[in-house]
Amino acid sequence: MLMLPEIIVVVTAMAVLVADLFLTERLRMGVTWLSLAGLAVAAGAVFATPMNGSMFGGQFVVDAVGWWFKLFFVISGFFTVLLSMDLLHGRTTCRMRGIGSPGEYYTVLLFTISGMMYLVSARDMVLLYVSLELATIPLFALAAWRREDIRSGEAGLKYVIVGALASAFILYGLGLIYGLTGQISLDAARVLKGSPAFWFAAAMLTAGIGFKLTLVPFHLWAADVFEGAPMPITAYLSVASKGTGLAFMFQLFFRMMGGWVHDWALMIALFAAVTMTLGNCVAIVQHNIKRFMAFSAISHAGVFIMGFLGPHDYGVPAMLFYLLAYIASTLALFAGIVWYSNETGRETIRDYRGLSRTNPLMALAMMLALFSLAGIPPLSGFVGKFFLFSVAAGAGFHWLVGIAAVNSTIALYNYLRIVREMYIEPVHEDGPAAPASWSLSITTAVLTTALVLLGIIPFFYNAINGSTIAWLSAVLPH
Amino acid sequence: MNPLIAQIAAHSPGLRDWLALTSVIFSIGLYGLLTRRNAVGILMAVELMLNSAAMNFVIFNRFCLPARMDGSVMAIFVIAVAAAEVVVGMAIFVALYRYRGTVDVNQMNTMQDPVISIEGPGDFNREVMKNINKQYKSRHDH
Amino acid sequence: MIASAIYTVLFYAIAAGTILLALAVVNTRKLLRAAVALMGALSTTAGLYAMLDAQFLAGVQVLVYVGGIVVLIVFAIMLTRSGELLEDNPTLKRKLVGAVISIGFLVSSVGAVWGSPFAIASAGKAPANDALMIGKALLDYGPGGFVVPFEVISLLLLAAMLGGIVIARKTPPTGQPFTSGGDLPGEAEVYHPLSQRDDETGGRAS
Repeated sequence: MLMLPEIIVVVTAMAVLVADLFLTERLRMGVTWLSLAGLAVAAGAVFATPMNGSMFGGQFVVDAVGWWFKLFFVISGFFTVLLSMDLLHGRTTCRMRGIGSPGEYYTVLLFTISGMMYLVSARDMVLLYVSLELATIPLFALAAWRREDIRSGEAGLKYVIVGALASAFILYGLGLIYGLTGQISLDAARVLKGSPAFWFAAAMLTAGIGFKLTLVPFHLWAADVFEGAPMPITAYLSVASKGTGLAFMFQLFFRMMGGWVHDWALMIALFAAVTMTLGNCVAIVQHNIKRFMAFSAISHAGVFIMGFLGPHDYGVPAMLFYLLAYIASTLALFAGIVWYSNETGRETIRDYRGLSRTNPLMALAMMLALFSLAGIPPLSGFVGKFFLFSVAAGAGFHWLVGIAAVNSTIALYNYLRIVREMYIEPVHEDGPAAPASWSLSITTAVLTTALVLLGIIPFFYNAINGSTIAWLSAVLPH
Repeated sequence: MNPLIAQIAAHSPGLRDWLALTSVIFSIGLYGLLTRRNAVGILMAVELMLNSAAMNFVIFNRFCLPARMDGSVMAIFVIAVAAAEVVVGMAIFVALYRYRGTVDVNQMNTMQDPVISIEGPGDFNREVMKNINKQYKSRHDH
Repeated sequence: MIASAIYTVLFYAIAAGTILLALAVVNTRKLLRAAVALMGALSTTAGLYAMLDAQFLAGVQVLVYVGGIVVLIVFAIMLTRSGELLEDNPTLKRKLVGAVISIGFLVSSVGAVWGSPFAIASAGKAPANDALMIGKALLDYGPGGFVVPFEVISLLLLAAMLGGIVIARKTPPTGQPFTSGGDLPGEAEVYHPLSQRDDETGGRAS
């Protein structure tokens, strides 16, 4: 049963919705357990499904890349639930940060995960478009979930407008491709000859992807939405939404317009260079940690798309591995940020001063995550970046590798700002009193271990590499 | 046969005329998106864009592939997705109006990149918040 | 011949009407009027669908778009009191930027379409019973069917509804310690970024 993981996620969402009606206030935690259990079972189901096969006459297809993407989406959903639960159940010192309606929150969150999973299995434009919207539209609501906070509503408003605009662009591009091929299938477009309408459609689709993946100059919404959204949703946006954008780009640039991927190498390299540079440079002046993470996410988007250059067979596993490393590092860092904001309600970088004295373990975990994001060996972020840089170098874009190296230095400076606050500055006079709750402790412990092990033990990269190295050659028969 | 009728019939709209029409509607929507200030007005402009993109599918369905209904099916899905988008959008606008008293996108500026100044961070935001507090007050007094 | 001439005249008339109504949507200063114009533009689009032999789709357009979505938009205009306000005329700079971008889009789009070969099929008559064919395609679980997106969109509508209800409802669910439950802006505990900045001087968020 290939669709089992999706079905489990959807059934869990429905069960959470119904259970929420019947659970009393004291037992309200049950919805959290239910969501966590459902996502854990779904992750198991992903493992149990084979890496290739199709259902419904090719409407729903699983391949190696889709398999890994689904696993990543379920994992990031699982840890997002762990990050959210304290806030949803009012178990924080700072009550100002709470989020309401846990049942609906989990249901909507689970629905977006199922949308992302359908997205990677789509083989026609209809399912591609509909599942992309399922992965996006509920996120507008989640970004605006804290009604009593004007910044949350403002984030939702900006996200709605930009999201609708992006979806209109994508739809227009898909329409032109449909007209050129006369078929709704994504595979039909691969043999298209170049024509003005095709180039126009490609430009529209690139703009749409740019909005979803926060490529410069389509990134302007990201900082405000990240800052205004509730903290766990910011974490979710920076990992799962980025993963969705990447999966969508896989579908369009490899599967649909795969025949043209060599012609776009220069354009992608330019996007990567501009996105990295601007993301890192603007991050220098940020004070708010959520805004800072938004620009960190933007600059990482520039790193991700380097995998679309060059000897593509190596690009696919490199991007997937970096996505995994990025998810582990970002969520580990966000566990610390969520904990700090839960306990004190503060979210500026200056507020983290002296954390290493008051809470050494959490500071250590956050430092490891920051170093991984900055790309310091031997952590997983370094390994992932190394593979992506070598893909770009192999494609002949040495100048891009140079720019990326300079950017890594700027990024290191940025991340070290937080480390400096934590380790060198005097202790904050009003630091968090309570230690991290068990859910955040588990998240931090697991993900920090993961981000170290991913870098040291080659097993994980070998597993991804072994199953996906031949993927692109199969998609693009020469 | 009246020659005028023959001439009119000779200009029967082809695929390109239809596509030109959708392009015009899409760019009108784009213009509205860029010039409107009220969020609801912006969403209406986006609806125009979605509508014209959906019409593209129907046009191609009619002219390029009349034997199957793929394009029409896509258009139906687009209409349903637009409905979902409007539901969420309107809920956000109404909730935001309740707390801000406006849905003017020009005033959606509580979050800004910090301005580098001698006084230090946050002064700019302080000004912005002062303005917002003034808005609350004036609304609450009435 | 006469039928073709009528079709042509009708096309240009409806197309002109649609464009004029669309212009009204983005240009009127009264939003309620813009909503009415949007209703008109979507109705004329339904007419265009009918001219494209997609009668069922024309019906869906009227029922869902005109009857549902526009009504929702009108509600939103009322609830945000946008109908009472006269929207300011956009500044000249804004108008200019909008005009340049949208005209640039129009020119490149029309140019791209006119310069490209589309696989125009011979004017084969569309199937007479399009509702039947669409219905079959939507529930077809074989190759070329659309049963999976059909199920996925039901999830999307449910998720959108849930999210909309949670955000827009007036009173928060009971037992939420962190919301005052206020309906008026003054009663609500509004989070101010200001208080967060004040922390730097040592004060706790109030």
